[in-house]
Amino acid sequence: MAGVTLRGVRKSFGQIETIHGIDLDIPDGKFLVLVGPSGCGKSTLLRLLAGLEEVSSGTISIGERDVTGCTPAERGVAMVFQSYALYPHMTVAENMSFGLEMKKLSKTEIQNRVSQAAARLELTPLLDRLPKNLSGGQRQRVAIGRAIVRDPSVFLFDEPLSNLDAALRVQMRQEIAELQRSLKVTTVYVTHDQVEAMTMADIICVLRGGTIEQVGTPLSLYHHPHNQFVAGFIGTPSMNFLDTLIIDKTEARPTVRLPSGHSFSPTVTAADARPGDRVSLGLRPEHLALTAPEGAELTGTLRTVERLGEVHYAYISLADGQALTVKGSGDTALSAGDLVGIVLNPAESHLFNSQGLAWPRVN
Amino acid sequence: MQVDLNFWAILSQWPFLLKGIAWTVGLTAVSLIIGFTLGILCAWARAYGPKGLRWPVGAYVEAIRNTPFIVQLFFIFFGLPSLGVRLSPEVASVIAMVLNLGAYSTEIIRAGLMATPKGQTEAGVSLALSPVQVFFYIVLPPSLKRVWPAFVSQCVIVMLGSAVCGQIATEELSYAANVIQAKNFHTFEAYIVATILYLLLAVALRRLLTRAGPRFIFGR
Repeated sequence: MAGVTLRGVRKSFGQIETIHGIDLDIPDGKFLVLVGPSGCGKSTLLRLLAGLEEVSSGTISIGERDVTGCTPAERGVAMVFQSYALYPHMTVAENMSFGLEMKKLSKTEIQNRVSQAAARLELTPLLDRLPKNLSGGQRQRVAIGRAIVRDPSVFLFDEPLSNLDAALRVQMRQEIAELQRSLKVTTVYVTHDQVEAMTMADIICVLRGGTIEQVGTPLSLYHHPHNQFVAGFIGTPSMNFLDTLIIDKTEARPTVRLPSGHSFSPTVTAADARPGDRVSLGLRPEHLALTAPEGAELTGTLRTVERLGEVHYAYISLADGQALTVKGSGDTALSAGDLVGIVLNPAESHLFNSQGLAWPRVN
Repeated sequence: MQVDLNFWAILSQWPFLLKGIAWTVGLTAVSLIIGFTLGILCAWARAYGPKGLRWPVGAYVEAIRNTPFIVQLFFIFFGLPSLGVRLSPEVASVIAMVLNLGAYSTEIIRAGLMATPKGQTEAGVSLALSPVQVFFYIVLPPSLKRVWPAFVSQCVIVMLGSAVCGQIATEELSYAANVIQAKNFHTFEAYIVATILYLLLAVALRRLLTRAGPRFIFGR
């Protein structure tokens, strides 16, 4: 097993630089998820790790070994592709054993590795089938099996669940996470789905525009985002942001004026904040509650309600045109057009300066 | 006008016809094996090869595909001697057929190669395979499977095109039919028999290659 270290990694395609000097440490045996919007460079970064693209500058190390100039074959990594990339003319068993045969391993060793991986992934009854006769989930398992048999130092997954339906995605998410925990192999997993990231990762690395926005555990990113981008990206539905104004500050704790005119003191430390600063107040939908409009800190008109059974989402327009989403449990009697009040929780609020950087929360 | 058909006059010359069939089959077999190999190599060169190789291969393919087979054959048999290269009719025929099939199969196979998903190549590379292993074990078999019907049709066309080789006295089937009708003047019958034999050979070749592909060339 081995950890992965990236130092000053840059990648340019012609004149265009897509990865801008990335430094990242992935501890041995950990499951790191690279997450970010389309075009943020996460797949490029994974391909740099795999050796499928050449680094323009910087270094990549796997364990103690600098692999920057190494071919994919020399890196000891195994990659699972979004399209599965199974060989259509080979059976499941042949797909899994092919790489080992090319490495001239003994037949016994190959058979052992394939049968162990097949048993672990519940592929044993399918070993003689061709990929065209498999379901999406089965194909995904074969692709993972093909990677496992190589006994790699690092697993690389490139959006492996994006071609599966919702129910299967949840199942495969659990299977991959369990598999990684049992194998204890360092894993780098690319996705644009932050639910996947939150549920599977030991560590999440949020990318935007070829740079790292934040690295941390799923809950640290959720509770303590470094900036407005991470705050908005992590969490479903995404965080609400209200344009507000600092009107007072007591012992580094600011007070802001809400769009309703009420004052509100989020539990943050903002030593460099000054009255008159325009700031953004971050409120997660699950940390808000609906109430009667009379005397509420914020009031607005209910645009729509989405009822999902166990929860509902209320979409609200404030008087100044700003929008809020509130997540409530169970059902609600409210309907579109109703005037509602919104209860804010100071302990679960975030404050971002004009550059979008978060002030640290006290709790 | 009464037409008196006498097929026995043709069929009685069966040793000559058999020799013609043997030459046609032989020319086709040799041309197919070498032409197929040439097609794979040239398709690789055009799809993945270095730039210095792509241009000459492209020029060869375009030259062959845009000129008549008979001109190519005559150039090899009648043109090359002026450069001091003398070839027997049979050797000239094989070279012409190989070059012809090689050029057409280059484009057919290249189409298959270009349709191979990039992920499969990268999967091979990330499985620690060499570029040669990736090409021959991963890219080529499914590519051939994709284009096999088109390739089989081209092989049949080349086999039927071997009839032109009689023009330089290669003793294939059309040459045999021509010689027989010149002897006994049963022209209609001679060419009816030749037509039927070509039809049977074409059907047999198509069936053989259609079955041989999955069995020996690209797997299931």
